[in-house]
Amino acid sequence: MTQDRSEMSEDDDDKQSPPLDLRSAAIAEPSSSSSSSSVVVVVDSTPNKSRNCISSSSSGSLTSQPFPDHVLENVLENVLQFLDSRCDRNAASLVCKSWWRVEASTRSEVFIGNCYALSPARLTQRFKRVSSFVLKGKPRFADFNLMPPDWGANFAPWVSTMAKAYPWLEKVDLKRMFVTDDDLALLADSFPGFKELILVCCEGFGTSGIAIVANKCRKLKVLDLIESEVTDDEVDWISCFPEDVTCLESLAFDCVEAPINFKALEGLVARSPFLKKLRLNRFVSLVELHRLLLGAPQLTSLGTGSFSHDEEPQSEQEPDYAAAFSACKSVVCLSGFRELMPEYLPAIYPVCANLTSLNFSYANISPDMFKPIIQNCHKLQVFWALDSICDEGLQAVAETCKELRELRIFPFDPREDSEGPVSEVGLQAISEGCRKLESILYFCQRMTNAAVIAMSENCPELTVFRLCIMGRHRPDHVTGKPMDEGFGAIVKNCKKLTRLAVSGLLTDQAFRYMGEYGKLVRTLSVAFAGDSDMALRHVLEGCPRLQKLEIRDSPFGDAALRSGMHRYYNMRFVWMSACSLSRGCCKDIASAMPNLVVEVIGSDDDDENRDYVETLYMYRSLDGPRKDAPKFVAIL
Amino acid sequence: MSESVVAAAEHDYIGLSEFPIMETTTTTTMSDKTKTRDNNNDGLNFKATELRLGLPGSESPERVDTRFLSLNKSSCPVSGAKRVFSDAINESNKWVFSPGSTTATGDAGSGSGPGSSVVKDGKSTTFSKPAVPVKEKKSSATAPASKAQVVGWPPIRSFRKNSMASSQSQKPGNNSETEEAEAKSGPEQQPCLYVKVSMEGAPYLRKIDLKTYKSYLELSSALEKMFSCFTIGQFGSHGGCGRDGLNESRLTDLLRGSEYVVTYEDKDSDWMLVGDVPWEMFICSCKKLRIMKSSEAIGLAPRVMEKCRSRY
Repeated sequence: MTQDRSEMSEDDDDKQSPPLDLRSAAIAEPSSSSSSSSVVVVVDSTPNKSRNCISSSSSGSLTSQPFPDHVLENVLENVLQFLDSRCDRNAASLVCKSWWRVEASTRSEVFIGNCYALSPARLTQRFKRVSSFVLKGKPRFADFNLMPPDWGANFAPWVSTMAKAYPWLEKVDLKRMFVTDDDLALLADSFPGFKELILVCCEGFGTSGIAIVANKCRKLKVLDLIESEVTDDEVDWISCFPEDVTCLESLAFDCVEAPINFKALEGLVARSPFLKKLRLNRFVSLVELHRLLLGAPQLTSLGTGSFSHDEEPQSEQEPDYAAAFSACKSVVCLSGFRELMPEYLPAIYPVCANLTSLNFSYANISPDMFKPIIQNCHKLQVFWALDSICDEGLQAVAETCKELRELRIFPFDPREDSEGPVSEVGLQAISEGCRKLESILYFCQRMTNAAVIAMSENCPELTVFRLCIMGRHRPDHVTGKPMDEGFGAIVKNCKKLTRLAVSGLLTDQAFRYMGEYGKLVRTLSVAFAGDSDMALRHVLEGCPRLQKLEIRDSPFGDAALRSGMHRYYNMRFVWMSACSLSRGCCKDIASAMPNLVVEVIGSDDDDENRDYVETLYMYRSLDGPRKDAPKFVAIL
Repeated sequence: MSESVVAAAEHDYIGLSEFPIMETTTTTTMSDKTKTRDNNNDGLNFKATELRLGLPGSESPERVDTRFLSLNKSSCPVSGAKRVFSDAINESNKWVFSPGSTTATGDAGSGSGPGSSVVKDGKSTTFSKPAVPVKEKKSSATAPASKAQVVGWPPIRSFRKNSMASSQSQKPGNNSETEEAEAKSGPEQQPCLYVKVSMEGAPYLRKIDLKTYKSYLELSSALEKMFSCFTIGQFGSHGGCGRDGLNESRLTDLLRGSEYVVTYEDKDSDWMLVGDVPWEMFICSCKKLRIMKSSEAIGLAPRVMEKCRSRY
């Protein structure tokens, strides 16, 4: 634990040669094997003592290097080309300045976990040959309306900087960013070889922006719009794809809430011989789906659109949907079913045996409809569904899906006091049947410690455990006790756990367990939990790998916040809303930690409660506070 | 009544002193978020006030949970919003709810308060804050008696909530489109004013925020930049708009000269030439813009003159 007292480290040469900014030489994760989040240019130290050697040995000017180093750098370049993992690359860049330089010139895939951790200029100064770019913006709690819109995370400065610096950019993957049509237009104009655009949980653009990308990016292989808000500009963007054969391999537009020109889509699919993934939106009916399937049997991933009819089926024979599906021998991933007409569900039987991924999370399917389907899905690894399948449905999953890795059960009725058709019974069944489970997200109304403990014992491969007991502060409904023991067992027994979301009635004890056992936990989500500051202190002092901490409506105050100061430079962000923080304390922390940006987000400027901090969002940054903060954000 | 309740869900509430003051020592609610923009006048202790929001039966939950509605990008369709707005104005003096009601929020602020806050917020309520209910005592093992809902809880993304709501009602998203359309023609106080801009011959249209421009000059230069690709492409001199910049002077000729004119559709759904009325009047009445060839626009001129005479 004491290793985390390390300060943000800086390369000594920073002071000697301003133009080449070596402060960004430090890096993130000490060899984390997880493929999720680690900030590229993060200021931090590994606990590794050898960092000190680096700082001291890399003194000296940056001007000419002696000859042997040139040779070395050439060799290094050739070798480092093979390093793909960003953790490995981050580690390599820390060896010495020479390695840092070579690594920077050979890194082609850049990942930035927090768009405000650095400025676009810093990115382009360090890395010269970027072809693939992943950028994340808003914190996750923004998805649940806990943050006003227009908070920021604008893609504009990034795209305009990269437009000049990386003309060969091929891939852009954004999450929770605000992207405008103009940004998309600039992107389409600036990168002639552009191949992949992936927008996850983004907003700010519409179908007109998509049209521009479709029209101008002639080498486009991937256009994936996932859970993004796309305004309907009444543009026929499908028709904007060029007329000749396309390079499209993946087209996902299930989140686009606008009708599309089906004829144009059919034509597009027909001239896209490489298309493997197609996710339709709910404006594509079953009949239209059928026609598409007949024309594209090579698909591997299919989002089925509405899976219903708008009007009454014709009196003539209905298309043979099952036949169409059985022609799709390669489909392994199925989703959609946005307005499912259950009587047509059996059409998917022919593909069930091959499915590795099935997403029924928009389909209100009863257990009786569900069981015949799932009983064929022996190879299923990823399964998302609504709780309408009930515990009974989960039992069926447990019986058949022995290869299951990821399970997500969403509530059909997402209110605190809704009925709750799934419970500890389903969880227990899953834990017994699906021993290879790695990731679970489970919404329910009732839960017991026993079931959670059972899962911790039966599923040792768990890396992600997110349990949402929808009623706040709900205890174990059988024993009446807090859920401390259940979550405690999870952190204790699941040795690979990296992500945890807790709920239900929780005392400080649960957090004591987390601090004691959650040594690999990187992401922690807390809501309506804990009794006192000690809870948060346990976590901040006990979890050395903690990167992302999001807390809402919990009784944690200034003392707890202060206790984590040794950690904040090592974390991507901390979010605390509706806790017991005072502005004074946040100011103190901001003063003590100059490279930490401390944002206090309020919804008005009522002076009466000036001291109370409604929402705190703080994160490390190499380039100081951002300039685009709206007026409801105060940067301390 | 349900519309009013939806209205309640959408707009701010003024805390009630009748409600029990909650201790704020260890736990705090999000009652702070219930402040309206008018709160400064009320001087109530919002921090300590708890409010309850009762779910009006089968109303879609996301209406309750949505704190922040944005004008155009809202993914939470609020089909009742338009009625809400007019209802609120009409009933501003009657817009008071009884505190103990389980279906309505206790919003017994001054009669003009909610009304004026609605007018002020208009359709652009970026911070429509539904009341946040009491935070239960942790020792309580039972759920609260009233059907209180908390903002952002359970943590389901609005996209998913809306999808469930719309698939339940089997309507193809008319609500959100209606909202957008109405929002665009909303009152002047809204913070941004998006209008669609189309151009003859262009395969796609753009959207711009009229509020970001102060004059016709700024608007036309923005339009020139935006649609340069097409005009240049059309006339073949450059290969399309590339990074080497736009030939603005040529565009100016094109747009202001004889080739293209900018027209707009006003509130009465008439197409008028841009530039005839003062800028402020223009942005209030403009619903859509279209860049068309002057040959097409010739027919507009006489009507424009007539209209101007009769109106001004």
